[in-house]
Amino acid sequence: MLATGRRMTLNDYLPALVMFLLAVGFVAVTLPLSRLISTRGPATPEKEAPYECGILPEVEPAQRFPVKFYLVAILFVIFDVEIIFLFAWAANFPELGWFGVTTVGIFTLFVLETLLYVWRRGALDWNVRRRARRFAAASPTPQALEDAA
Amino acid sequence: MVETPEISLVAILPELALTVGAVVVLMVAVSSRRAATYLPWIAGLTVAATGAGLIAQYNDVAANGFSVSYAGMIVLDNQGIVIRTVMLAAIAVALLVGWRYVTGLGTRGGEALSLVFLSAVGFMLMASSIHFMLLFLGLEVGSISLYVLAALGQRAKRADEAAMKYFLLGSVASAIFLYGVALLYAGTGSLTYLGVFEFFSGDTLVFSDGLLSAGVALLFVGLLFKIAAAPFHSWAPDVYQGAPAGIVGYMGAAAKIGAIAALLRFVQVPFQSVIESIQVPLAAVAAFSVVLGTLYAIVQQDLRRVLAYSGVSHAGFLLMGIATGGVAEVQVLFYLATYVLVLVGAFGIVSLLEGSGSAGSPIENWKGLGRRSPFLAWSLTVFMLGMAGMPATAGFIGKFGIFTRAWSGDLEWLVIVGLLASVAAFFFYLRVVVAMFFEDGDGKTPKLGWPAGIGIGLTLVITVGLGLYPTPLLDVLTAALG
Repeated sequence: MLATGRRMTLNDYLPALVMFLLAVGFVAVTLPLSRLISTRGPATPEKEAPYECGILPEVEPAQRFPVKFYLVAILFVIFDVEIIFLFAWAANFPELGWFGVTTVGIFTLFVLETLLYVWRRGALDWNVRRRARRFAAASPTPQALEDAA
Repeated sequence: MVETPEISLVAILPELALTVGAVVVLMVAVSSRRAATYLPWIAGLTVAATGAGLIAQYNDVAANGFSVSYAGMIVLDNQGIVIRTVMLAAIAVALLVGWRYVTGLGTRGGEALSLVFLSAVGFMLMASSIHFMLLFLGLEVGSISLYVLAALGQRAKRADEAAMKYFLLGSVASAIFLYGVALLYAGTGSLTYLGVFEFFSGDTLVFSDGLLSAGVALLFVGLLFKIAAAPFHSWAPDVYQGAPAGIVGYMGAAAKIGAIAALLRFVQVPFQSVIESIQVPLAAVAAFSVVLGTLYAIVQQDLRRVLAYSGVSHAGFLLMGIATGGVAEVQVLFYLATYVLVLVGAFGIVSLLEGSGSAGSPIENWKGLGRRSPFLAWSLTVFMLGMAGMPATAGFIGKFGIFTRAWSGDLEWLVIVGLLASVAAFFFYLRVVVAMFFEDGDGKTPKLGWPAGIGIGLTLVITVGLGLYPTPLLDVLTAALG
């Protein structure tokens, strides 16, 4: 263990280096190899299709997504990270006892508060126009700030 | 059962009070239509509760001496209490002078208030942390809150630019800091201050290990970035110029308090026995900051950029006191306390003149303010003289203490650089004073409300009072820290 005072040197990272070289080596060897030994026939319409067996897409995928997905993604990250902490706690639930329950309880309360806040602020509202109106009411323009001053 | 870490509520009382305040503010903001009328009460109560928490901590330390809790992560000692008190004073003055900004944000005022409290929690944790991971956590909680504060409620190009720059460069600095922590752990096998201290004092090998030196260097660079010391200051002028005037003073002050608190502990505990090795680079950064900050401030045409570059040179002066190492940090803390209050006060006046959500403040706008609003003009004059280190202001006592400390710490050349820069600094500090009193202009006439009036008045009293009669505070500090 490190705490016993042994100085860690770069040698200790040797396994990581070996792993890295292996990963690079695998790609460097297999890709050219498969190119060498594979047989190549003429291109057919089936081969050019996105899916060899499956439903062909009718239209190109949309290039621009509504920004509301961004907000949802951000909120998802917040609650997803909470789950990570809960997993660690759940795996050690019997050992942690009431200490764990209290700690995770406080933590969950904070996350719930976040949920309540974004909910009340209308961030979960799927109606983009209504949300935009709410946001406009909530965030003033520089002019409004001037007037308040 | 696993062993649970020892919990000491008294060790985190101020942070607890601020966190509860931040949560309550948010909940009230979304659950009541008349939230705006409650905000002053919540803000006042939170500040009062934090103050009460600090008093409880002081009594605890007076009775039991310093104590370590949370598995060796948090220390409760007088130095932490002093720094947190400075932080609380900065919050109180900042909220008073910037209250118009909070109310001007409308229904989002609660968010601003909550973010101010949360950033204070982060930087306060930095002051009491004795563990590098907790230090990083505090740094991030504080910094991220400040990024959001910089971007809050603005739709101006200038403000967006400032917020974006602050966020991107700040994140890079945090990453650099974290990489330093990682390398330090790889080199020493410990993340606690005490463990690193034991490693350095037990092992005769001093900084021969490249990995370790790189780690320590990155660690310091990350924090030097946060206090805007040259050559890591490039973000400061744009942010000080573009962020909302009502809150930018607090942003500058809070980040400086947190990072200086951490640097102080660095030279006290983990890197105490290798202070000789880090003294030269720290002193070089200090000298560079003082000189560069002063020279650049002279050529600025915007008061907010002047204040930003003066902040760079003040970071240099603070580093001057830190580079000497040692434990009695009275001078550094005195300097820090007086500087951040004057900074917040000066930006309060800027926000009164330019509007609390504004960006930029050209010197032209200040012409003739002496006639239009004598109180504000005289207050700004006192603040400017205080920053310059004029005798009879707290700035003089602070600079004098720092110079004495550096001189006795065998950094004579640094003192001479600092003295020369201080003399040159009078030029740019007095330029706005000249504009206010001796040049004609017909800019805006600021309206002074009572919260801003109290905030500026308080700062005035502290600046002049501590300049004329600093002995009681210095005695208290010496008794507490000695």
